[in-house]
Amino acid sequence: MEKKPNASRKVIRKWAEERRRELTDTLPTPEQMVAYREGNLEPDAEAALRERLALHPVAAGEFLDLVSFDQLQPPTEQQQVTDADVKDAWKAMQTRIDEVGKEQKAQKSELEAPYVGEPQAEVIPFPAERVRRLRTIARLSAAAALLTLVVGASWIWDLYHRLEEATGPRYAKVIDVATTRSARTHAVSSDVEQIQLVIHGVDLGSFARGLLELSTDDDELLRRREFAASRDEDALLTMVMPRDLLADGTYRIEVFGVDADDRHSLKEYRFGIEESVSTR
Amino acid sequence: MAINGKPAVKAGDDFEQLFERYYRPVNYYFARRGCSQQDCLDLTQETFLGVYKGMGRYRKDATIETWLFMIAANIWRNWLRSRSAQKRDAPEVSLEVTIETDKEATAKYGQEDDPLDILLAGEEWGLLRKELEELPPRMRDCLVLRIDQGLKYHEIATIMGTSVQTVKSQLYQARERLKEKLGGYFNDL
Repeated sequence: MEKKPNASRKVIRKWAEERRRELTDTLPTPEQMVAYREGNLEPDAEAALRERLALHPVAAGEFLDLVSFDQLQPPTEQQQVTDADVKDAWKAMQTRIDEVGKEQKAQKSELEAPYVGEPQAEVIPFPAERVRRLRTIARLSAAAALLTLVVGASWIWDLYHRLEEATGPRYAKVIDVATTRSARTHAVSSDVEQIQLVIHGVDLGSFARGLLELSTDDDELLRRREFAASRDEDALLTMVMPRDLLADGTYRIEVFGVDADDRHSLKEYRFGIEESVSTR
Repeated sequence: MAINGKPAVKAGDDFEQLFERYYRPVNYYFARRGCSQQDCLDLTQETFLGVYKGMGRYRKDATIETWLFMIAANIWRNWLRSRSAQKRDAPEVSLEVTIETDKEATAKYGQEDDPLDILLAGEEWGLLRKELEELPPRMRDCLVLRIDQGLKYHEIATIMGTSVQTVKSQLYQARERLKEKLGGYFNDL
């Protein structure tokens, strides 16, 4: 086989992408992560969880945070918590604890209150035939209730898993990148796992091939992608990126035309990403 | 273990002491998941409320840090679910749709013209995939963590529960094996 530059990375990433699609699970539970860390999983479960950590950047990041939990640092300087912040938070916590205490006390006193007003039951002797009939009806009703319970429980179980799948943190956010004059900032919420960049107005002119580079503001190259000139002038170029690679900050996309000798810068785009405002 | 020069809190210690010691790591756990400052405050308070209510159920064999992590991580998951239920109007598409759109764009741009893409879309991909799948799972996991996730050796070692030296050795063996079997594809690894 002849030498193919950068082929290994492409091959491994393609394999990982395909494997990710095959795995339908969302994040491992915290209990699974702790059991994995403490070596309490069966060998098969341990291997499966290790593979999920290898393929799932969000899970891997969370596992690394579990291991160094007491040493965690904020993602930005602005998010440093000061001593005054801790004091304020403690005051708020005390208020909350007092509220909880009052609620618990109220519930307890309700349970312990003397039960008054119970009506005196009247005892009426039942005829034997009626008792037998009532017993049969009761048995049939119990069987029907049990059947309903089993069917209902399995339906609820199925529904629960469907809902879990539907609401789990597997989302993509679409960002349109069109301007070259200023970096428009896009709000992206924390549970977005992938970001699809839609790049407008890529015109290669006379070049048959193009090259796109996505970099951070500090010129750290995140993605390089080669492509052929489109037959359609209005075609959009899209690229899917893991959210973890696009942390809050400003990014640059540079498009080049490529010929036999060199690459020639044609256009530059800038965009920003920031954590979205809570919708709660 | 000492944190910021102070001894770690043990089970049974005063709740206020526990709060002061671990308020920062819990808050930073949420900040590192991309939560806003206000959400970090709320979720951290929820976590400590869970700690307060569950102090009687604390497992003595787990460390305080592990216990806090489990409470915080479950609160974060519940928060994600409740938020995603409220975000139906946001311009988001499912991963499946994203993948389709990406394929369409790729087709429009004729990216399939790249000889490597043609190989990866054709029969040769089956061979490459087979070789990757025949690697010992631990070796393959190291490779994916390094190449796909771009993690550092010590981070891979933490995830794999092994030493940095073992990670380097696994990666070396994986590379040699793939180079031997697939030559041209893995010369640059």
